[in-house]
Amino acid sequence: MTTKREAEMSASAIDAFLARHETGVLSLARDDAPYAIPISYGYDEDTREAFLRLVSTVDSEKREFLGSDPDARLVVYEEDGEDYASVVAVGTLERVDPAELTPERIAQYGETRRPLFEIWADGKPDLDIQLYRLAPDRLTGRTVTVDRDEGE
Amino acid sequence: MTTPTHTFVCPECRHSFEVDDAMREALLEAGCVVCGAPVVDADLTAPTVE
Repeated sequence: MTTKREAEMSASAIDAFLARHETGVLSLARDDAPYAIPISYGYDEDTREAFLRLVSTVDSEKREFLGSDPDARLVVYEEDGEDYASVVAVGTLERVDPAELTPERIAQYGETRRPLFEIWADGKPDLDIQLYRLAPDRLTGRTVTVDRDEGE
Repeated sequence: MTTPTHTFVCPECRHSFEVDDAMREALLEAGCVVCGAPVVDADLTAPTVE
């Protein structure tokens, strides 16, 4: 398999890609320990921010990594036949205090799917659901087309 | 937020906070900001005047 074509995505293409998808992989780190989880998100093309709801428990590994405004990467990708595309958002994951919500922020979370990958077995009142915002310092995307038959 | 006009209590996750008219409209449109549950008028109560 060889690469036939490779290209950087434009800013508008990145925005459209992130708005079209609703799940990705969020990566956090603490010291030398990595932590990555599948998450659901909503994306505001106007502000170029991602909005997340994350569920954790007091003793969970996730809670430890979420700490105070951790550096984070959100990776969203797709594969369609010979075409691959991916977007990487790098920035700080900031916790959003429900007491400081605005109508605009409520609408932005309205675009965010419920946490598809989270465990909702417990009753919701027992879950600790926290709101987060990722305003990327860097947003990059690329598309790759491969030739699967090449070299066979 | 301007002066709060209602208290929102989510019927599913039980999160609660005060909202103004604009936030009330946004919640009715977008659902609970914390868990995504649908929100109806009955989940938003106006303060009782004594």
